[in-house]
Amino acid sequence: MHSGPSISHVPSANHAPTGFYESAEKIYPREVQGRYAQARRWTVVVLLGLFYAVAWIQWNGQQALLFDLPARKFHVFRLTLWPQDFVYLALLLIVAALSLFFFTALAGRLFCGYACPQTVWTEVFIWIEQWTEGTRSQRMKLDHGPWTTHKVLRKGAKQILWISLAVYTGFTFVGYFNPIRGLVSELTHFTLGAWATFWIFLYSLATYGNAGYLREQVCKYMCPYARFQSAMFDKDTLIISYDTDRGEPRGARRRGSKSTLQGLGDCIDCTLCVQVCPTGIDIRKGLQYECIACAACIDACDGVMDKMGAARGLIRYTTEHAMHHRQTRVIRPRLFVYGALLLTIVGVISYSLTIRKPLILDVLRDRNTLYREVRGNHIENAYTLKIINEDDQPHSYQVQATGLAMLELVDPIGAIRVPPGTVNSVPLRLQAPAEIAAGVHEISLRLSALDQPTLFRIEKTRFIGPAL
Amino acid sequence: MNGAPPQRQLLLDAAIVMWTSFLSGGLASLLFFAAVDPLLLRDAGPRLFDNLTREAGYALGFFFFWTMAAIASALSVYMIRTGRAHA
Repeated sequence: MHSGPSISHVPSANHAPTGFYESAEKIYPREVQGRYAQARRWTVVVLLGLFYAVAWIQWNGQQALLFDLPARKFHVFRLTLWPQDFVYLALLLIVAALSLFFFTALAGRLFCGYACPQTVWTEVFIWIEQWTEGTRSQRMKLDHGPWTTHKVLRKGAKQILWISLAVYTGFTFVGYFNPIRGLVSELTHFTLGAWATFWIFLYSLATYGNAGYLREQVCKYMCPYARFQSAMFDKDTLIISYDTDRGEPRGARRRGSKSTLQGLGDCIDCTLCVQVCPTGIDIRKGLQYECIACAACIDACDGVMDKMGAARGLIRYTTEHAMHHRQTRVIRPRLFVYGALLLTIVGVISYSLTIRKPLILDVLRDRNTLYREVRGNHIENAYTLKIINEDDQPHSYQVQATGLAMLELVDPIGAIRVPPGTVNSVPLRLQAPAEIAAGVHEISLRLSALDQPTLFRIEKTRFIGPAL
Repeated sequence: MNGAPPQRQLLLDAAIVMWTSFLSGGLASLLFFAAVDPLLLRDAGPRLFDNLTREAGYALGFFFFWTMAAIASALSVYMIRTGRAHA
């Protein structure tokens, strides 16, 4: 089924080749400088900055982004989404899936390398690790050395920073589901509820474990996307590849010496590309499913090529077709199809959000009696109106019933006032003369806001009288 | 995919079963509770859960979906592992 480049399961360089289930050896990714590392630093700062900051933004006196599950309401700035707006959630999931198809077809695992929460938090945890324990070789030495005061201090500092960040992350995450300012005051008054405490603890633990210890193993053993991404690849997908033709035969040589004169390729076999790899693979063995496309090996190799006075790009973003010297087209029909679908759905969502009426009307017929005879010769039907005012201001509404001659509204008379973001249940009674009411009639109820003529809803229901 | 000692194999199979069903259970809960209010189920169902809150309803629902997905997942692994093609 895979139309894309075949992804081999080469045992990774840092691991003994005893099979898939060997206990993982610790990987010490080497620090790396370069344009892709720079790009990742920026995306990490922006994404995490947004995550930690947005929870604190207030809008009209309440949290701007709040998924209030206990109240079954989502607040997204000036919008309040209700369970009735389920369609937006469905559309959003479709957009997420299509974006993944689009970006995977374009440039492989862009998401993994730059935007996946696993990558983003791991990156920050590694910064802390480098800051407290030093460079790759210093860390390896520290780990293999005895427990000196120096080691205890460095490891202790790392743990304190890791745990603090993890707990703050868990706290912020829960703050998107319970108002975060309320959580702070509950925390300072020691009145935090059991559920909130449990979830904060759980998400802290998940962050600490995933970003501190599991790291690349999440990508290798737990992530389903890593396994099926190749189905979305084709031979024109940008992937990170080592240029075998140019690099081989690899071998060490002096700086500035011409590789061709010694019968060697451009690869000097410095293994820096392996040392910087967060998943511990050797990109020179070809595309492997462990590769999260972080491009650290490109940065490392470009640095080495600069020093050697050779052209950059021995490891680079390229396509399978380009590697085999065939014509390659990165901008291809498949991308246009995904892109067009994506734009259409985003357009539909935006349009429907702008014309969305912040009013919902549900009409429930009285379940117990079909009809009642009243006032001598009249038939009465009873209903319950469920009126949801989704707006951020109160409204007064009136009901009108049409669809049957001489149909009369006896209750409610006058305006129904509903506060913002509230559901009101209102009993409704309609009457009609018995000779007209006989049988079953389709009628419609129109609920309209008195202060805003464009804000109305029409619902159909039935008016039932004695059988003909 | 093989070559691990049987006990470790079992442990890893179990880990994968629990993890994939966790994902499916999460997705099922998301879709289900987006459409259905746990309080409605409480009111419609047997009188077992009279004091159920929404939060508890979500949690119970999630564990239910997780368990169901885990059963399906575990059966799949079992059928694959014990099938002739695998042996």
